[in-house]
Amino acid sequence: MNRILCERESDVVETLRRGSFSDELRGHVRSCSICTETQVVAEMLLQTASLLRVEHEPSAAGLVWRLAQVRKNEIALKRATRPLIVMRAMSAVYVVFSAAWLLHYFWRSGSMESISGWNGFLDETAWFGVAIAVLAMAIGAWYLLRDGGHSVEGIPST
Amino acid sequence: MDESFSVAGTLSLVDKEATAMDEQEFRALHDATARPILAYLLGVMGRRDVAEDVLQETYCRFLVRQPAPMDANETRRYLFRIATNLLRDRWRKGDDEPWQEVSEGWFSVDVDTQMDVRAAMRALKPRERELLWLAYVEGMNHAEIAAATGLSALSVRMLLFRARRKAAGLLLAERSTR
Repeated sequence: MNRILCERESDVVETLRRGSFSDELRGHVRSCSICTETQVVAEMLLQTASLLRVEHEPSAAGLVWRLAQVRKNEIALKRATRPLIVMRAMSAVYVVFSAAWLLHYFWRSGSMESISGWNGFLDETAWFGVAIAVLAMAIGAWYLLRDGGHSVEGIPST
Repeated sequence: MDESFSVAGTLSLVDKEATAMDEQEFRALHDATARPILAYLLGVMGRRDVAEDVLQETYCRFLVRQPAPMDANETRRYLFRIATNLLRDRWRKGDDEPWQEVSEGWFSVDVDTQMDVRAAMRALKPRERELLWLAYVEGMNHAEIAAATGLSALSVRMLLFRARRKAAGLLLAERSTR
């Protein structure tokens, strides 16, 4: 059965990474197909890696730091405005329900005559007031969120 | 060649407390780890533009997440893990064709070695390049590679064996035809 591991493989890799082969290890590599393969591949990769590390300069740490700070601020702002988004959704629900309730009321009162005559409507005046208040809240919440959205967009990208 | 000692020195400050890193600490971390990670990304991708994007994104994610304090080696492995995941995300989305091209100056050792390495790297799958790089350049053991790649240690062992055999076959075949 073919072996897939040799317990000296890690020694070969470590030696290639850090130092020179002992005679004993060199002898083992000559007699072990796994360690021979490991040596060939690891040498090629280590040579490539050392060239790449010398030849390619990473971006400046300061630039990466500033990018991360901008990203952090954006995330913090999104978190802070999340309750307002929930409020806006709730306001929309209130408006829809209020509108439905009003339509339902007029439908049940017989016809649009009730609007012109205000017959029976006074009993419901308080409810109508509530609906108006909710509408005002909805408009207010929308305005606030629109303002918040502009603030997020105003953050420079770099 | 071994950078873990310098990393250990400069990153002991990461262990201070669970608060966010300041810019000075980040610079020390970046100086100690950016080159090896960029080399890894270039080695696996073969494209500088993609490698630089992924490197920046790796550090941004690290800073935004603010992981619990860890020692220098853990931090280094954590960064490799983020970079590896980002590479995989890009391949899944089909953003990049790995190893479409190789930048100039890549293999400036000698022409024969150049051909060997090009042929071997092109023939390997991205996952195979990842595993071989982490094992032989970064010196990670199977458990550490498993943590960085999201594979099981058993899968790492098998895949690494196949990748090594394939790469060695390609390199030795190239040499014997010269």
